[in-house]
Amino acid sequence: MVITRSRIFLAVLAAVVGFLACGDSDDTPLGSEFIADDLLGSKPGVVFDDSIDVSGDTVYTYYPLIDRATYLETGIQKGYQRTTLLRADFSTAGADTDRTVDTALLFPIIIDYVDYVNQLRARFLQLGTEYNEGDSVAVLDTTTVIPDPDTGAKERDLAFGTLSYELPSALVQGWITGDSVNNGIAIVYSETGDKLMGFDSREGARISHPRIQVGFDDGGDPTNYFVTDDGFYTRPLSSTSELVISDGFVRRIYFQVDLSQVDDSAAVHDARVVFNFVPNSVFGANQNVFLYVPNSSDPDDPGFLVGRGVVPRTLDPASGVLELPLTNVLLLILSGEVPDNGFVLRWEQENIEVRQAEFYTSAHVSLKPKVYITYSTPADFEE
Amino acid sequence: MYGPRAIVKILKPLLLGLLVMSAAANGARADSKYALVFLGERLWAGDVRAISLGSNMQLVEDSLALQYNPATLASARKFTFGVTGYFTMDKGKSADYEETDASSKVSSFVVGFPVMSRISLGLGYRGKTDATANFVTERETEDGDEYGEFFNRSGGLTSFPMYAAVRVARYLQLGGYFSVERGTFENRWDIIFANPTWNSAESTQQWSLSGTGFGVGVVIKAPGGVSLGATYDGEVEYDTSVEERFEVLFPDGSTYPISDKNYKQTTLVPERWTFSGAWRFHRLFSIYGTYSTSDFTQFVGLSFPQDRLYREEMMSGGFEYLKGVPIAGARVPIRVGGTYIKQPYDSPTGSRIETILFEFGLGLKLRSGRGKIDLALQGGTTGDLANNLIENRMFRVYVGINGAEIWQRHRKDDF
Repeated sequence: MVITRSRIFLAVLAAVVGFLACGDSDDTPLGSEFIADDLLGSKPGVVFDDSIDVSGDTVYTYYPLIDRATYLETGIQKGYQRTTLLRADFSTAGADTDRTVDTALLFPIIIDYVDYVNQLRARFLQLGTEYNEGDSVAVLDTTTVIPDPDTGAKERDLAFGTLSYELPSALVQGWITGDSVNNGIAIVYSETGDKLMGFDSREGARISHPRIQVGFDDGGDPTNYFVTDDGFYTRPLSSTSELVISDGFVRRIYFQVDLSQVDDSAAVHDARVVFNFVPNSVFGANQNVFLYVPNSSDPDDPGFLVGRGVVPRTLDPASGVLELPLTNVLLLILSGEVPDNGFVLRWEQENIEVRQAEFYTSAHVSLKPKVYITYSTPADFEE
Repeated sequence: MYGPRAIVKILKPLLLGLLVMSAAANGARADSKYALVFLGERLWAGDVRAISLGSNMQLVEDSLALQYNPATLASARKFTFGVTGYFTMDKGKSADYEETDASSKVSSFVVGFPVMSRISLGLGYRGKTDATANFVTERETEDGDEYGEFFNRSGGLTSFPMYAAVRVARYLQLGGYFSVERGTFENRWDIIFANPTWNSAESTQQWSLSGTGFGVGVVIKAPGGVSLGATYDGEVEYDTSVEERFEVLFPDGSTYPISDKNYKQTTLVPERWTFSGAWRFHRLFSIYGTYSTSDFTQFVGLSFPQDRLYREEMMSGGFEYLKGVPIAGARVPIRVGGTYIKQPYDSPTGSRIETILFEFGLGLKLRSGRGKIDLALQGGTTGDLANNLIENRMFRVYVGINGAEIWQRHRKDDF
């Protein structure tokens, strides 16, 4: 073969390209030997794996009603008693104030639905405090029973198919004329077992809005006074010492994470808080929860109710745990960008249905909530 | 010698090769694991003919060679340029690991031009050190989460010299340079977890060096084909800005700064003396020798422990068969050389580190004398397993392209 200039160069090029293309092998720790004696001038940051018990875990209760739903409830189910509140508006009575009430019928339209019973015994009670939709009701203030004017019975047998229930005409006369205070009516379950009845609310279709129909002795047309404020008041029948979030009877879980053992200048690689469910404590259709850092750590401050969102999650009771990532929020707390006000766990949307989930508190040895955090310190550079 | 057409024919595949090699080589990879420490690895940024005669050779009688010794620039007879690049494959080895890295670099670009009958000026760019290297250590947390500790170092020192040289007499050339000296060294630690949803952490320390330098050189051409040269490179005091930062890298690629720190320091690179000799003892043969030393115990900066620094010494020797051997219809000079360096810092064991290099080179010259292409192969080792824990074996291919053209003034020797 004739050796030409081009062939020489091509051979050299092929050799060079060959060794460059095949030259790179996988990276290894080779060179880390220089860390010793500061020959490298730096050392890597240190990685830590810590678990931190949450502290200050407690439950705060709030008292709004479920008042925007298209249904109202009375009865007991899953340990929560519900009481329907209704208040009709008589401010438009006008000429009716000069008329004499002959009959007054309450139309609470009963819902025929698989979750609800068709028959239930209840009492109608006057409210001692005026109920306006949107009000928080810490304690149900009822005064006197409104008996059936025909029988004088305090108990009412509510049944699907019965559209209306009679009210004393004198009572309604007073509401129309303004001689009696119209605080509203509570439909209070008066049995003991688990039974739940549903009524259409004013948020539902207009045709089934709750109302009071008043007939007069002048033979004229009756007047419908529609309910303008309704909702249902919910209370648990028993208390719990565990951590609980609930809706209807709104409870939120508050907890703190003591970061004093973590270097302020740490980089958080991963962090999560893990709660253990109390078995069989979860119910409700909507299982979306939400964790936030409140704007204030003072539970009496309005800033405690709102804050910086951390993460939404859907509960998975079958897993046994609720795991919420805290990686970036702990990073921001350590850097001071987010105040260290603790965390609040709540339902993502509240006042939509009665539901709850319970978790073990920090009083439990093995099932207490814990924060698992992996972080590292900065590299140590020699100056 | 080759004609212009032949050179063009040769340059075509060479340039194509440069492109391919640049693509093949990962520029971020290391030359040598010894680039991780101190100033990084010394770059041979001189003329490739000189490199093939001993890496630090500074006294080659070649009007196209733009060498370290500024006095040699007085030999430039025309507008002359020279560019040197290299391709390297380094195999690092310790008792437990072995790693091979490859990369390519353009280490120097210098132009020179005569301005008066005896005076030449020049300027250019010369890489001085390369501090590009990395390593990774795989680790596991107590809970069994896997992560890697990645260390990356990059940067190095660079010089932008402006030369002036004068041919005082037929036997005496003097030269000097003033240089703008720049340097950056970035040390970066990354902690990256195997779980891609986890945050990473990055600590970076960046040194930005800025200074000026000067140097002088002399070449004496004695009777009997003997040439002697000396170069003095003055101490360089760098104003050094150091920036340290620590940040989190989120999985989506965004970052969050945690802390930063800035401060200033002074970095002092000590003076260097270099002595060279060449003897053309036969019409066809020359031998060369160079000794260079710098007392790095005077070095200050870069957080390097002072008690681990020593005097650096370099010795190079070379032999050139000028007539050469016939290759592809032309005679190609053959060059061989050797270099010994006692590095200015020691290894983790406390033992001094030695570098031994062997060079082999060829040269192709235009018939017109207006250009040349030099090729040098360099192989050798730095450190050894027994004494230094890490041994680096390297093989490099240097390519130098030099050209000259009449530009304004054609040197008229009046001697």
